[in-house]
Amino acid sequence: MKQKDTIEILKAEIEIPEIVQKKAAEAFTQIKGEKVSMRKFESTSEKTMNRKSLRPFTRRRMWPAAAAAAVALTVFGAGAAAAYMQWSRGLEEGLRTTAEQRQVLEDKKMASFVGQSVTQGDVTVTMQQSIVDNYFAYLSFKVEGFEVEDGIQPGFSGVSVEVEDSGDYTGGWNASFYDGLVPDNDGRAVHAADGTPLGEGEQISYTMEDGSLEFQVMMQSDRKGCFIGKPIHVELKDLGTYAGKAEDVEVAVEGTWKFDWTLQGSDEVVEYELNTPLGDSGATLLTAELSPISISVSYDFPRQEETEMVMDENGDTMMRTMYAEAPYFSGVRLKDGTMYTRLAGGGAEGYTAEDSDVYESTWALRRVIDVEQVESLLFIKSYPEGEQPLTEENLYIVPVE
Amino acid sequence: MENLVKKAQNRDADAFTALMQSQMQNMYKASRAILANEEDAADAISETILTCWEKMSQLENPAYFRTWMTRILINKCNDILRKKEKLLFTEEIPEIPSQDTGYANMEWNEALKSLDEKYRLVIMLYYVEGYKTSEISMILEIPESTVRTRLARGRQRLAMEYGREEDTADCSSAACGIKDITILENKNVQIQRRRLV
Repeated sequence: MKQKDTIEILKAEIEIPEIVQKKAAEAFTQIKGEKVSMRKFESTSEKTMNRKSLRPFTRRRMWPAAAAAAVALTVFGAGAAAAYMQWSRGLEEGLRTTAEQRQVLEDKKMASFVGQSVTQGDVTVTMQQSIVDNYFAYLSFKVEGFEVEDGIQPGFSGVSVEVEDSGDYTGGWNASFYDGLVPDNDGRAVHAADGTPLGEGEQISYTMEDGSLEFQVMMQSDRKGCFIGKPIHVELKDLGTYAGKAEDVEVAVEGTWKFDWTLQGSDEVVEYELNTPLGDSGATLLTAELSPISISVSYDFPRQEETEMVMDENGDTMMRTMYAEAPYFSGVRLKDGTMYTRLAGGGAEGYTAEDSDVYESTWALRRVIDVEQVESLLFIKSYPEGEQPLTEENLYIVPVE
Repeated sequence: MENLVKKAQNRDADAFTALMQSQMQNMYKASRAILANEEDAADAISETILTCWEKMSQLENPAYFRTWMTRILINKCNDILRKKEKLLFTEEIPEIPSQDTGYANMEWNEALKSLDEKYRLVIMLYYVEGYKTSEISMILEIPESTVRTRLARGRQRLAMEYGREEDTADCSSAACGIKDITILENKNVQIQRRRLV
């Protein structure tokens, strides 16, 4: 076999073996939520298998509920708990709340405090606070006894979140340590504390003033109200740091911090019947539900096929047809004229059924809003050149009153 | 491809599936450059798919998707090698198990085996997947000069293999010398292979 022949043979398209195709198909199925499969915390125990396990941003079908199992925890007494009856810094400034907004969320029971601590080695993790509405849940954990230098990102090697008794739904979650940075109205990273931009070459700091760290989890569900009042089990495994370009956490403290409690929350929303066409997009905005931390909208949006050219691994091009997406929710305009144009955080969207033209879109909001002060909803009509900010020319503006 | 990457970053599972399926040939070939059998390659690819889905939002520039994905894949392959090394550390390890099925890829498998393990991956990434040496340097986290060296030596080794097959009947003393080196280094590769498989 000649050298050139060897290279040519290796370049040639080959048959992907059945075992490879099968396992890849299983992974795709898991991602599309057609099959439940534990991955990060595989367990064959009946307790775990009967729980609803969420995977970061995966969509999966859930099993029927089972009774909660008792898990050993350190739960603060009333006096000690009071020390944690305060907002986590990450949620307070990350969601850019005002004192008044925080009080409203507490009064509605949308924000609640747990104060449950587990110690492994020298590291104590406290489930500090949650904020829960119909579609989203934020969880904040305080981590004490673990130091990282500025510029070094801490992480857990495994995170498992399981919500019981949530019926048949799809959802997902993501999680990370709070770094004090939020996107501004133009999408640029700024310090949440004072709004100053992230400096060039500036080292990101994950450490709070008291030396602790905050680990945040955000969960999302496609099904309304599936988190409120539901038992939840969270496991955080092996604490460490991300070193260099490494994808995996370099473990510094081994252990598993386990938490069980019941999520409080509020299903209170402001609902709008809108029936407003969005320009010539083909979409008509039907309804909107607005809570202080999320929005859910529905459109009538007859399917529009979009064919695009894609390139395969050999550089050959082929055509692929997909459905167009309805105009994205962008933000809100308040009664005082304030525009929040990049308000949509994580979310999900799509047709409600294969044979339906009703398209739903649900988004977490990047900041807490006063829903009574919303004057208009904003949707993306077009994107400006480069990194220019969105202006009214780029938006469909839908008054809600 | 960038459109699919952007849609996948917006949690479009269908776009993500289409994107990853378009990379199956690449992923399989790269994984087989590291792993000895199909089943391990299947595990590495499956894990890569799930990890890419989890971490799509961390990919800052869609143009770097393939490089980013290949880095994840190679990490997964190395994880599998490490696990096997731990499991089999004290055992007598057999030669590369031949679990490849079917006649269809026989020629491809033979071509793969003809490459020295040490140079197999860089040759696969450079010649088969079309990465630049600077990209391979990023993917493997080794200096670009090392990539170039391995490529050159891999090419040289292929040439020597060719020469050995073609010239056994009538070789000059110089050619015989090269062959001796080849055989010696192949023994070293055998030792390494026994440790890793």
